[in-house]
Amino acid sequence: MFRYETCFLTVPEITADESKNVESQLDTIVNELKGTLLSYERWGKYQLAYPVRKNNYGVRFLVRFEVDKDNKNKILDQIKNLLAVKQAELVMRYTVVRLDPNQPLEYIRPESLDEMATTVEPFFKDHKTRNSKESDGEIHDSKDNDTTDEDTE
Amino acid sequence: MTRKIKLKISGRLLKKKTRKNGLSQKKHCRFCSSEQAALLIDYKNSNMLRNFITERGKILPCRISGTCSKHQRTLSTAIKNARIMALLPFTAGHSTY
Repeated sequence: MFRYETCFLTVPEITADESKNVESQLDTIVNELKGTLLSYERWGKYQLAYPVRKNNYGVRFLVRFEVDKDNKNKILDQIKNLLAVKQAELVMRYTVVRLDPNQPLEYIRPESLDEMATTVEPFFKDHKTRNSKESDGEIHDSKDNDTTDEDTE
Repeated sequence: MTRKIKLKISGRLLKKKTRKNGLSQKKHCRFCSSEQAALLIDYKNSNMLRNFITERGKILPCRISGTCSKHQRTLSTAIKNARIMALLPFTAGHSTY
């Protein structure tokens, strides 16, 4: 069994129906050739390092699947046919990478724009810049009080 | 042949010696320490790969970054794959629309 992963970049205006349509098409391709679809993940919206087809943003997907040794060339051809020709209007870039069989399936990916918005908000809530001076003053006062207590003792 | 010993050492030579004797620490490969560290080299992990390219987007040579030649090869392919997927820039100064 060979394990593959395809990462593809789509137009930012992709809808949920279109992404489901691509998923179902991939699923049929893999199932016809006696393979298994391990995962289909939507990473979210990303800012691109350089504009692709005049788009500064894009949506990334990651698909993982397993195939037998005999069917691997057929499946790679069909996936190329699907992503590069049939869905050419949606899919801007794609890559297929073979994974090691012993390699763990966990991976690190960059933060998407949707996740960034949620992580930044609580930070600003906790750290209010206006009150920082007051809190410093309190700390100094408490220290002074401690020293005076020791002196009196 | 007995080796001649220099009694007087010039300032320039002293600087040379200190440089040779290792005031600066020897560079080491980050990924040779453990297998888990080597697994970090991946085209999807673009935040880590950003440490190994210059401001203009060129791949850092191993003599500067200190990675061994084995991991430098995998790193360079990972950076090239990430560039294709628009995770990393080919150059600085891509025109914005």
